[in-house]
Amino acid sequence: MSAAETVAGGSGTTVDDAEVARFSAMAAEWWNPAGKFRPLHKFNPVRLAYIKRQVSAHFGRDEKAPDAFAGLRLLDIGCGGGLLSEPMARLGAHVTGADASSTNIEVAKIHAASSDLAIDYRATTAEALAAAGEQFDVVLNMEVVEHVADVPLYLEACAQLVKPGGLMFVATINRTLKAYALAIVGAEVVLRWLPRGTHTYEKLVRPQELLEPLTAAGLREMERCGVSFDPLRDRWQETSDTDVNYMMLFSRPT
Amino acid sequence: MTQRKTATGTPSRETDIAVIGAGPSGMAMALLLARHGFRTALVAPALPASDDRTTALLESSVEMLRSLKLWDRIAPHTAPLEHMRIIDATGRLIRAPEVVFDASELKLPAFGYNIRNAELNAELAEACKAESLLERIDARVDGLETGESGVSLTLSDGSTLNARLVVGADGRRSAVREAAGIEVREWRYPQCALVLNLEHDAPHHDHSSEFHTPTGPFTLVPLKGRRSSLVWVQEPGEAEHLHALNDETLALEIERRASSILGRMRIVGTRQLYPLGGLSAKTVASNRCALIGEAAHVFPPIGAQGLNLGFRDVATLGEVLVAARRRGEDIGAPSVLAAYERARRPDIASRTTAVDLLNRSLLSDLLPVQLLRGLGLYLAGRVPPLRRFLMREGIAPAMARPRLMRGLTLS
Repeated sequence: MSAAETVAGGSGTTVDDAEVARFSAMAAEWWNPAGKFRPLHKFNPVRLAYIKRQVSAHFGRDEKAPDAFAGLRLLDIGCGGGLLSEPMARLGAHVTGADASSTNIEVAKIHAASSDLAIDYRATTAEALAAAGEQFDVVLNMEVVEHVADVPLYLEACAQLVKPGGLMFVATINRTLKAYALAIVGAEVVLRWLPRGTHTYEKLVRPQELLEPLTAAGLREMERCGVSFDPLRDRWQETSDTDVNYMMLFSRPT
Repeated sequence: MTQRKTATGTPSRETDIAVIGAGPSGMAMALLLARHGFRTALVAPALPASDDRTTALLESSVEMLRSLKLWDRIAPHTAPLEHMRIIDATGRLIRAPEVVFDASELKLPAFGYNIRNAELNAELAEACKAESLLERIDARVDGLETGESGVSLTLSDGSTLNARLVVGADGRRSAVREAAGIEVREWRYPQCALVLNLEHDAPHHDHSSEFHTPTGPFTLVPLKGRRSSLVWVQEPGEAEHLHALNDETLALEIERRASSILGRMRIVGTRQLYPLGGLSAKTVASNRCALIGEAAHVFPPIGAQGLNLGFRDVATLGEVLVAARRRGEDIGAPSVLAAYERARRPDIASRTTAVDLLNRSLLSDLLPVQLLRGLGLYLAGRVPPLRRFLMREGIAPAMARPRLMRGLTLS
């Protein structure tokens, strides 16, 4: 990736250039469900169902309604090719998709146009959005923290993006031996679901490491749950085991 | 549905889902989708004038029709199937004992309800007319092109129809299946089925009778009043010979084969001859196209499985699509189609295999095969839990029951 592609690659950001470069190279693959992002496509239904349920409950919407998110302002940080942004827009939310890689943003824009969806995609970062004073009803922070350079700094910026009364979802992988065995050795080396080097053990994030900076930034934890793969049914599902993949939900009190 | 003019001036329409084919499965699918808030186009040439075939709607299908609020309109045209009698008329050394299954053993009023397709189709078509989100388009599909986020259909009236998802309900020669690039496995049996309806002097007492003969099953299923439908499976030469007989001679031949259990018989309506074969699509969904009914699976008319399996496709696809929309997913996305495939594969595979095995066991002259079939039916006759299991599985496998067939709603 050229330097020009990285919008916010200068000093004082938490973007890890090497991480951004790796994902940009794969950008064209984003929307191929049989391609490199197959695990993310498979992962999507469980996280979509979780977001739909929690947002509906919090904002008093009908969970079963196809347009339950009408009028909500939603930010998808690290939106990639738009795998989450598009469903959120279909549910009626005003979606801003942010990604540090302009290649990803271009891929996402082209795809949203072909899907007849209006999504505000921006090649920018959480820090830049926070500096501009933007705020959202819902902030999605899914599978991003394990790829940033400075987790506490990044989370502090993310927290500022949540409106009073708003929600933030964080999904990531725990730093445990079990996660090392399953998410790195298992998924990358044995099963080859993910390209090798997608995740590095040292960059994985424990729940406590999310909780502390976000609480300090004024957010409150509402709940957490694990996500596990069920090989028999060939799908991901919510569990109480947060040792590997997990999601946490925070709110900013009004 | 919104209307647009394209640059070339040919009319172009947008819809969420295009259902191709207006047989019972296609109409039920379109109706279910429109009722659940999808803009739906039902595309097919105007219905053929008459369809004299009959269908035994099993309990699970009735449950789906009930949840679509159609059953009250359909029920008056049906005859209940309270008892199923299986008689071994193979004349072989080892014959299976006669077995009678009673619906009351399952605490059901009936295993199913037999209806002429013409009446079923008429009621479904009437219900389709009343749906505001459903548009019936009388046209053939001449072209189908799948793009990144939708399918563009070229219709025989010169118009273009754009949809997020196409449902192929267009039968065993499905054009949708071919356009989606889905391959099929096809096989033939050395048999033909003679299908017709009869009036008879003696009442049927809501019994269906299945005579297993060396050339295939001979099955009488009750219709309303003193009438029954017959499916007579024969080797092709004999079937053609029977098909060519005049009404009186053929009626006598049928009465003799049925051991006169229904008294004197008269043939009503037209008779049809079908070569027997099976077909199974390698996948039920691909490239923004999902297949239902005979576009996905065809097997011999044995054991009332065909349309009931088609209705399970309908209820399952509806459930998958409503769930996908609830999560904000693209309803034609590969992940959604994969969920449909995953939900239907075990049911379709097990039905196809079971019907195939039953049919082949009738044709087989091998003693061990006859033994197994005889033993199977003997055990089915004597061991109550096994009987109930077989009866229940014959109606619908427990694993494959979609919500609409369990008395639940989708939204």
